[in-house]
Amino acid sequence: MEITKRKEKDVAIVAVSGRIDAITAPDFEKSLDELITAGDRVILIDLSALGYISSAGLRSILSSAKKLKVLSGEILFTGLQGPVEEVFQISGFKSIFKIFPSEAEALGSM
Amino acid sequence: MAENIHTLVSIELPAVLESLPAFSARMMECAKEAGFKEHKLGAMELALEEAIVNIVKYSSSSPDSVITAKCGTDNSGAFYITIIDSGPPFDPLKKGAPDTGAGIDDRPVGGLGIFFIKEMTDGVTYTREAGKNILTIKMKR
Repeated sequence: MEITKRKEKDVAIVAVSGRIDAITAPDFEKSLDELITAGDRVILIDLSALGYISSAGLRSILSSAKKLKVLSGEILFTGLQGPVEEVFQISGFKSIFKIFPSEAEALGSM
Repeated sequence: MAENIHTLVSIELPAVLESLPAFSARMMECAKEAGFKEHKLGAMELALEEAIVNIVKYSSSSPDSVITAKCGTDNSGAFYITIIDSGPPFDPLKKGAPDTGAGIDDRPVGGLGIFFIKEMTDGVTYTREAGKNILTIKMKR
């Protein structure tokens, strides 16, 4: 798993590639926690280069989303594709999160 | 459904999370050799991870306990992964389905693993035999 972070307007953009499984999920959650602690309130996660996610990864996402919601923040997604999209579909995550076809559209919705 | 499985590979590793990559690599190699394509491999890998994570988390196993994973095919060409552990009796299939329609606030963190195993595969069975939990995952061609 590799994580790249940058900032665009007031949005923290997190591009994650590789795999989020039971072994890497804690690091991913830590990465999101660091942003929340640093004061970021809107996090856009780009999943276009992610090849695999398991329930451990969804657990990290939901846990961070709950923390952000209390702070009136939110997690947005873009780049949903392939097996990752299927996992989002089956779990219902596709309907509880805002998902955008592109980064530009996500930023435009702000 | 377990009678006619012809075992291709069997591996035994410590019942710890760190064994996951090795289980995954060997079982996916086995599925590839049996002729399964990328899409099915992804679903199988997910089901395998969820099953192993579940055992590591809930079996309260002693440090020297192990998990055995076997892969095999039957006469119809279906592929099977069987995961065996010696922990206390635990039937993961008895767990209720999560409410996938609940919002961020109402949704409990976790509880999706077993649901994924059921949803992503073509059948899963649990048996308790000779002091062992035996979970068999089936994937059609």
